[in-house]
Amino acid sequence: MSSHYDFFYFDRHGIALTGRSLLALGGFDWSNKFPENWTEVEKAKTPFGRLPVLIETRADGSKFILAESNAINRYLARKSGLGLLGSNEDEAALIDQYYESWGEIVAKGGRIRRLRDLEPEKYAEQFETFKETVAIPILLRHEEALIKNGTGYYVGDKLSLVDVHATCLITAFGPLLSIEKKYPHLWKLAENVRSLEPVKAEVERYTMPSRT
Amino acid sequence: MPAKYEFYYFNGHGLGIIPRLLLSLGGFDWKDKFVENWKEEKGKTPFTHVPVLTEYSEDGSKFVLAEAYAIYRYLARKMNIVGETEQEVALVEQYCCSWEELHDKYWPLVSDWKKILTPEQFDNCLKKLLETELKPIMTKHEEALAKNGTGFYVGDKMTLADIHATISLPLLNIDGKLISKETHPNLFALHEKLSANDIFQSEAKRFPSNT
Repeated sequence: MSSHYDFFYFDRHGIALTGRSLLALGGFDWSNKFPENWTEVEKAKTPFGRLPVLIETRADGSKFILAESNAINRYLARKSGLGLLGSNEDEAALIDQYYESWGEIVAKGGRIRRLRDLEPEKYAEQFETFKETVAIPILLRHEEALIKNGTGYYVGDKLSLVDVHATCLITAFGPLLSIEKKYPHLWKLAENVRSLEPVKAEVERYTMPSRT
Repeated sequence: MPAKYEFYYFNGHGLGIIPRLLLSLGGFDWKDKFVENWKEEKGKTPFTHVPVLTEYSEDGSKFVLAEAYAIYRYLARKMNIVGETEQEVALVEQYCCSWEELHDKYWPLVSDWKKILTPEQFDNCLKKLLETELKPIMTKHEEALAKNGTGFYVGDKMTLADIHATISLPLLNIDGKLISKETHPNLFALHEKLSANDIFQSEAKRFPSNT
């Protein structure tokens, strides 16, 4: 008998779209769990005072609790049975590589976005510099990698974790980074993956905040 | 015949120490390739960054892998130090991700942001990071180590999580003052145990200690 999964996160997309999409795609028995009193009560009970947290309740009643969105995403990808981590060690490493590369864009861009409140004028300049020196060169390489692989997917000839993750990030940040205009293969990948019913349902769960 | 590895990075440690340590600990046949003229070399890397790991197989084929975290997970899998069960693997990754997150927040603050913010803004941001993230999260790590009870993060033997903590602790225990042996005995004991290893020592000494 299989486990039930609770995906514990706020009642919005935030960084949860990949995790929720994987749960939906993998046919897991899962539900969302939203915080009710995060700062006062629930925060202290999580592994690191952060969300998301995945709570797996097994058939025997025991619980496995996992924090850190990237660890959660990889765990679900492995358990999904959909071969989302490739067919061999090399493919698994390449999927990891592209995933981490996206992580870099998100981490660096996210840091600069946080400057908006502190130093709004400097933010605009910094964000332009980030786009020119970090995001664009990296996204170009992702675009080239997709073209070179030639299957419509990042690695091999089927859907992998990074195809799902890239789709979720492109859905969140696409307009901010002009992805539709500049990187047609990345955009097409995102459209294809979003057309999968489970992913579509998760994308549509909330309106994506408009980011400018 | 086993493959040969080339680790392409700067002539210094940074966080390059973790993959270099794994290459040495794992007994891989490897060598460094140092950046000589970054402006020229940058454009030739897979994602405009180093490190990059190149694996040369006996049949002459080459496997090129970028992104530090992907590299060290790849090496750790080859060394079988990623945990034994599905859940252990996930937990090892969880602890590594947690350390990665702290590095990702701390280093940019003290380098890029420091140049952009006023001294007062910088001091406030740093204070907030240390008090609301670094210290409480390292305390959660301490609790997890204590709870596991074996001296290691997961199971009863060394995994990538233990190596990550050993490297990260001195780097993130800012000025050696944020946490101590008295307040976080398990973290310090782990660090002491692993860093006493000959290979840790020799790898650490290869470059002057820097950020």
